Amino acid sequence: MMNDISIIPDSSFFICFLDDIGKPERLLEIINSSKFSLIIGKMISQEIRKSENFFRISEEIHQKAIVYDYYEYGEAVKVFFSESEIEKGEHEIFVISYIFSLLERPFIAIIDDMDAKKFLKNNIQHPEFIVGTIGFLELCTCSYKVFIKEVSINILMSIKESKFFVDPMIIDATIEKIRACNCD
Amino acid sequence: MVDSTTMQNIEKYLIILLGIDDHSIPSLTHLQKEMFVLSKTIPKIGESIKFQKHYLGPYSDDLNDIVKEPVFFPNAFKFDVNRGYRITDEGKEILKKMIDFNKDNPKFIQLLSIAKMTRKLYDRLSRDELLLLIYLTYNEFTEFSSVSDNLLSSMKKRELARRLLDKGVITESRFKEITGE
Repeated sequence: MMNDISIIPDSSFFICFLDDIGKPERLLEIINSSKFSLIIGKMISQEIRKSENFFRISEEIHQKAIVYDYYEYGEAVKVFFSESEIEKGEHEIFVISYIFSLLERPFIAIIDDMDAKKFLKNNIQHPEFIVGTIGFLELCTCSYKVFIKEVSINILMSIKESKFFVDPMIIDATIEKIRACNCD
Repeated sequence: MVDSTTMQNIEKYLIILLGIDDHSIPSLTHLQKEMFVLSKTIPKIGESIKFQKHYLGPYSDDLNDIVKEPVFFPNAFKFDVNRGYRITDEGKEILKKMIDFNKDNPKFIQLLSIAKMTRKLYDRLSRDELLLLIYLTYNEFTEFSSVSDNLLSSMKKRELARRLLDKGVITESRFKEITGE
């Protein structure tokens, strides 16, 4: 049974929770939320299995994730991406998000690679549904109420201190927005 | 030449590719390369259409013959010197029937979406931009090419990569990879 909104994350979203901040339990709250269906492509599925902490979410991924595996999705747009982007599966996220956008199905693509995100936003009908991990945490708190403010701010502080690549000013601005939002 | 089942399948794939967008496909080169990337993406298309090395990159004789002289759907698409390859009203009707028949088949729905995306992205490219990206990605198809040396020269590559970036059809990272910046 599909939940309301499909989330289509890239591998950095999973690695952030599993390895960078070591909070797989928070990732599980998102995966288990009745608000979202988790969509992953074959490449992302393989990529996240490389994490030594993957075992913490493997059962839920097996049970909950809808794996897009009919086709070699990324091949359709491989020519437009660099090798490093292809290795991370960014081209696969592009195609799966494009399919959701064309079919007018509610989705949120979570992409942290700035170039890939910009490219998707430039070429898709619904660029408003493309966010990064930090933006998604804001949505999880202020719009979908998966996390209460305190939990979300705690996650963001952990991200700020971790090796997850993001401008600390973006985190500070997001914390301010979460504090100001009318969601608790 | 392919068997009749494969020929019919290729004609159906052409109806999908040509009919999924209101505009014509700009050239035979575009049509060949768009079907080539679809053959890489969708295994069933790859099983039906085999591409060889050719003086303009990946090329299928079968596809070329069938688009010019279709047998099973003879009036489904046509070539117009000014407008390129396009679907006819009869072709649109055939596509509509295919969609109705497969409306609950998620694989088919996804195939349609991928075909539409392919049209949206690749139709915007000039012939040189298209061939550059194909040669860079599928380097083996530069063999027998009459244009790859020119397109892959550093000056030409840089010029085309800049145009592609300005059009927003390659990522910044791909631009840097092509130009070596």
